[in-house]
Amino acid sequence: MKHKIQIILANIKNTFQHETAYFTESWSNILSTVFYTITLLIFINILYTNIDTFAGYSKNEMFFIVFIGQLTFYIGWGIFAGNIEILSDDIYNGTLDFILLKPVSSIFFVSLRKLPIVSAIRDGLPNILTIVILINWSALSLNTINIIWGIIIFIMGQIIWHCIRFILILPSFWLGSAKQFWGVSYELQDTHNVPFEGYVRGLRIFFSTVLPILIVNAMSVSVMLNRSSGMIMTVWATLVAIVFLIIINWLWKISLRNYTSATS
Amino acid sequence: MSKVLVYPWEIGAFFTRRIISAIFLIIFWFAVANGSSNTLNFKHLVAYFLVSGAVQNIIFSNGWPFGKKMYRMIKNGEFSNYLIKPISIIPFLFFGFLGENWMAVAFSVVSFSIGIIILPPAGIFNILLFLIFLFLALIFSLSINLFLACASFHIVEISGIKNSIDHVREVLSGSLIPLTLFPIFIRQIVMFSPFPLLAFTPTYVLQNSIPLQELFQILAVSLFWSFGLFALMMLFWKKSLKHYEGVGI
Repeated sequence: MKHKIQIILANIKNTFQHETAYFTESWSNILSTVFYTITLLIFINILYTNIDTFAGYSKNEMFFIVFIGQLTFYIGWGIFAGNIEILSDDIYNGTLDFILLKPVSSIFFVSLRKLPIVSAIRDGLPNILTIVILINWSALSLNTINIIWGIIIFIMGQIIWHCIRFILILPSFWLGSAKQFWGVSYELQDTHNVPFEGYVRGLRIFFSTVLPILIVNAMSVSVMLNRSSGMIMTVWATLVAIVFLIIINWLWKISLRNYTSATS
Repeated sequence: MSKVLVYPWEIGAFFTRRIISAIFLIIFWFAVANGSSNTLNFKHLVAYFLVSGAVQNIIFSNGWPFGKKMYRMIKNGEFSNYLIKPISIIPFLFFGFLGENWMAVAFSVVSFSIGIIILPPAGIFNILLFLIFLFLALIFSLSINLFLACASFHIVEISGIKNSIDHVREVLSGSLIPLTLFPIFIRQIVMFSPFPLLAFTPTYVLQNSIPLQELFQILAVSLFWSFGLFALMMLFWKKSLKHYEGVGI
């Protein structure tokens, strides 16, 4: 465990050096983030001039969903997803060989080799803070217990999303390219801003079990806002996360057996 | 086209992506329409998004993929290969890009067909108008794609600028929310900008009977922006080419 923490810290340090080497060249990303925030706020405001509630959620509660959605995005996509995306190229051009030679768990290393925390904070902080300011916190029915349940569900949801992204990139081992498979994950993330209660019962069950993409955002928000049972949802999210971790470990082993490296 | 066919599973994944995207769009607007007391018609919304989505894919405005491809070529030096060839670079690269992206066009045709089945065009004349505005939209979209390519001659990293323009496009073109749902005053201002041409205007003229005065106004604004910006971008392109620094050049 200590060895793994040392590796993670070394990866954070390496990524930090890489990120800060050309820091000013990425200034335009901040511009993009600002425009995105404006876009999102205009969208919600126009939407709520035409509707009273969205799946039972008020405009203020919608801002809260967007807030958690942004956290989901910048943690999941901003920090972890890049590792998985480049795996397709590693398989295609044979650089995975170098990872397999290292005396560490390969699935652990490919999942956490780059951790761009500075970029995620730089790009995510301005719009997350803007949304935080816009939320009328006292009007939300939040309580400590539900927030704790919600945070646990959120963490489980992140683990599940990591596994889903991983599963989508694995066809690279057989097909050579899985860019469009990977692209499926982009479409699935469109669920981040739709409330859990906005789905019909059948879809809610499907997207919490077979393809559990709603857990990270929609379910955690539903629990935090006291619309779903915290304990039941937390147990469920934890079980699903464990099952998905078992599945990706199993699929990773099968995939590696099918890996035809650059030198073999 | 043959490049894409090398990975047939990727074609399946591509269509899966688009279908998932359409399903989530339907789920989202279904939930929105349910929350509306009377203003939103679910059927009309779905038809609108299917047609406007098809327009965006056909003119390559969604994420500006042609500009993105060109700036990558300029950045990694691959662009030099085309400079030394006795060809007109922009059409050559554009039609090559079109071949690589035939799947997006094919899906757009399907999406458009379903859209007009759900909500048929207002008349034969509207189909003709749609085609005219689609052409103007293509010219305007090409101009923005070219702008991004030109910018990459001057700036090292343009992905942030590309994303910024894309976010503005999403709201002002009506790809995120139909402009008919905007407050009237804001909508009138937005209609003078070039962005509605990228999704809202072609869909609007196809699905609605429009008073002649309004039609002329939309047409004049669209002609001004599409040809005006295209001429400007051609000038910018010629000037920007002089800034290109490639290996051996």
